[in-house]
Formats: sequence, C-alpha cells, structure tokens
Amino acid sequence: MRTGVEELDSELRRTRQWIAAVHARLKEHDLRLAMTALQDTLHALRDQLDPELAARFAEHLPLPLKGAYYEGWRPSAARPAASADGFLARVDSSTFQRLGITVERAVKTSIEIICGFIPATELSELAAALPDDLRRLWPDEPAPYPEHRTGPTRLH
Amino acid sequence: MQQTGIDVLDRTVQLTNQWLEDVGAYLDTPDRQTAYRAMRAVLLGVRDRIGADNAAHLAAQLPLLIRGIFYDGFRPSATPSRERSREAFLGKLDHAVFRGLQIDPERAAKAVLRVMAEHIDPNEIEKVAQLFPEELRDLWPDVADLPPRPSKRAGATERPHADRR
Repeated sequence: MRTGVEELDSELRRTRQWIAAVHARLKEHDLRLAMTALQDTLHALRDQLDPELAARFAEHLPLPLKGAYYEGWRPSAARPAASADGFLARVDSSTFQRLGITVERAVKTSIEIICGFIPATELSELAAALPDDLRRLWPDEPAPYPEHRTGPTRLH
Repeated sequence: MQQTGIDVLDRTVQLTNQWLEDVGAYLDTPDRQTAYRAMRAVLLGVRDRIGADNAAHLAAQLPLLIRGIFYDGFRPSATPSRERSREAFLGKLDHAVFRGLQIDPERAAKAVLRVMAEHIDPNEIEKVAQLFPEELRDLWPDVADLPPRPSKRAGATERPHADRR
C-alpha cells in the first residue's frame, strides 16, 4: 500500500525493514507479532525517558514507527521502571504468551533491532537513562557505549 | 492494491490517504505531494502552539502515520510557541513550503484544520480550538457547521492486535 507521496512511502519501506528484521529473529510468528513486539518495546523505552530525551530518541524512527511510539504518550507523566522486571511488566504479555514466546524474548529481540538502526551516540544516552539491570536486555554487554555499535543492523 | 501483510500499516495508509485527498480537495490540487507538504506544515504549527500535553491529547486522535508526521522534529521544551496574532502564527508556519507551493498559508491552515475537524472527535477539536487565542480561533471551522462524521472514521483502532484490549 502506498500514499503516492515519495517521502511517506520511503518511510513506510523503512518501517517494513524494521519489522522484517524483528520478524526474522522471532521466526515462526507472523509480521503482526513483530510489529506488536516493536511497538510495545518502544512504548516501554519511551516511558523511561524525560520528554526531551523521549522526543530526541523518536527522531531516529521512521514516521510510521514514530506514530506508533507516541501512541498514548503522556509527556508529563513518565513513570520510569526501576528494574528490568518492572520494565518487562509494562508490556502486555498476553499476545506473546498465547503464541508461546516470552515477553523477555520479544522485548530483547526488539531492542536488538532498534539498537542496530540507531546511532551509537544516541544509544549510550538512552542506555544511561535505563535501570542498570535492564542492560541484560541489551544485545551486548556492557551497554552499548559509543564505540560499540555503528551502522545498520547486525544480525548475529 | 498490494497489502503489506501488516494490518496496522495498511490501515493507516488508507486513513492517511483519506486525509491527503481531503486536504487536496480543499486546496484544489490533485497533487498528493502538495497536500502532504501543506498538511505537515500546519500540523507542526498547531502542535507547537498548544504545548506538549495538549499536543499529546490531540495526537491520540490521529491515525498512526499522521501522528508520526505531527511529531516529526518535535522539541517539547520549545513549546508552546505562544503566538498571539494571526500574522505571528501564520508567519511561523513553514513559509518555504507555501512559497514553493504558491499557496497562501492562511488558506492552507483553514483547509487542514477543517480536515482535522472532519476526522477527529468534535470535543477534542473544540478543546484545541479554545487553546488558540481569539484572533486565531476562526482559522478553525465552526464545529456545529460540519457535516456529521461517517462512523467508520470515528475511533478507528490501529493496534496490530486489536483483539488484545
């Protein structure tokens, strides 16, 4: 499906790349699940951040994912989770459980893909805003410092 | 039309196309690109004028892709932009866009605000219009004058798994 506006259609293509990358890692499940995982993870990340940083992070998302990211955002009511468990608890697990995958796997996979598409400098700032034990959800240990990741997605 | 296999994207493209068509109709242009650039400039102007919390309420009513456009380049700490006069508000809209398109910013603002009012919950539109100073308020259409909205446009759900909630 297209809008006929080149700028928007190219953002839609980019979005499909992000979703396809998550899908490729979650294997057997459909694209809808990949989109859900990505969107829920983006919401959980967003709610860790103060409005200014949340908005800066959003600038790296293709427009349709930016729209998904901002869905239900309350800029003055950020309630950051204090632990990885608290963070994961923010994600509605029912869809994932029904399909036999854990929330942790869905979120970790999504974070990996997000990290692959976002500049390393931005990631270190994002990581700094997250609870320490959340770093177990990041693709590499320690958390992605500037030298850690550059360029496009690296699939293992 | 070819589907993406991701319902939420297909649905939002459909809705976005409706908005673009409507904006194009009010601006008398069949060109999608023109409608898009005018729509984007006005959405950003409204967003910055009303402040981050109000913008979030308004954004909740927008189709996903249009919400992405609405928030493009957003800097919450730089809002609200507080223009009081008509010139100041219209002057703040991205003039390069309108010069290039040869469209008067006021005409574009009225067209886009009308399309918003036709697609969004009238209560929300009323609230946002009230946030505009008197001098700017008539850029918004009178909600009472609008034709009743077709129900398919109301509260469209765009969750990838709409059955979840």
